[in-house]
Amino acid sequence: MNTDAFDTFLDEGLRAALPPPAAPAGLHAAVWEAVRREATGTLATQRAELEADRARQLAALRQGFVQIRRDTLAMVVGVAFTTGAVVNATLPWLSATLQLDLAVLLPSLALTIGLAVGAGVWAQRLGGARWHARWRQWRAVVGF
Amino acid sequence: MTASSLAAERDADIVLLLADGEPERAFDRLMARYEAKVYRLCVALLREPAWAQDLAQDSLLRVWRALPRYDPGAAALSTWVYAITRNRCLTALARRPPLEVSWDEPAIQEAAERVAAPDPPVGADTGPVLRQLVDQLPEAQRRAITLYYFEERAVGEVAEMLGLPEGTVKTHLHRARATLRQRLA
Repeated sequence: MNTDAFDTFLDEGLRAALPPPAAPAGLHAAVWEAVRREATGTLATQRAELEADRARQLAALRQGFVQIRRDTLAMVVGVAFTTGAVVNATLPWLSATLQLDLAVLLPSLALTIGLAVGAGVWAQRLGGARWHARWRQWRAVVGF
Repeated sequence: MTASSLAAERDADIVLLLADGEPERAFDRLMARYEAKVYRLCVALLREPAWAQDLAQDSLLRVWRALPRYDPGAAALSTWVYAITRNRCLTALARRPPLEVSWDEPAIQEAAERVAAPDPPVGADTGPVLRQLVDQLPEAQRRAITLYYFEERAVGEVAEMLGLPEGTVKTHLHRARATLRQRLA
């Protein structure tokens, strides 16, 4: 066989020996299935992340609530102690100076403080901050 | 016009779909156009059809994941798809021990002599012998000549699939033919 004939023979032989393989029948569907599975996996991951984030926020809120309760308790104890000390120090002098009866003065003072604190709390609950803001706005408009 | 710019022109519809925010339709069209080529590239690189099918699927999945980041200005879509496939296959090959092939198997030698005889038998045993001889070529030559016949002798397409210059592919093909000629002579 001469060189050209051999090359032609080789070329034809290789073409027959190496036919282009067709893509496997299920490849297209398998890829789409993998894409869908991955998208579902992504959604599940996102959901888990959101739930973890929510749990973190709830824990932070709970922590904040506990802190506020501690602060409030500390403030109440502090105010009661301070008030007691002030009253103890000044009341004998006030009583002697103003000639007031302690039996009337003490309950009256307690009632006044209690009413003032209660009124302040209810004003806050009924939108005190909003009214306060309006009041400041009005003051700014009027200019005093 | 170069093979790369021809490929870019051919895939303009897919790029347009991507720009229009329709990645599913773009990917579906991309798969219809490239799944067979991706599979053939995997077969040429890996040799094993079942493994090639797995990695073709994985490569196409990677193409889907990376599709939002595809930049038409950087490379033609086909070049980009082939690069992802090639990298996936080469990474898989690097993790697997190389196949051992030898010229010295007597059965192959005998069959090669039969094929190279003055009146070679045209029939069943020519194909398997040639395939075995091709399998024993150096890896770069084997890949080039396998894809050359898979892609119906389009050197430009083979070069794009292998990520090589056309001249290099032609050199590999020339050397592969010379080796085969020598083995059969």
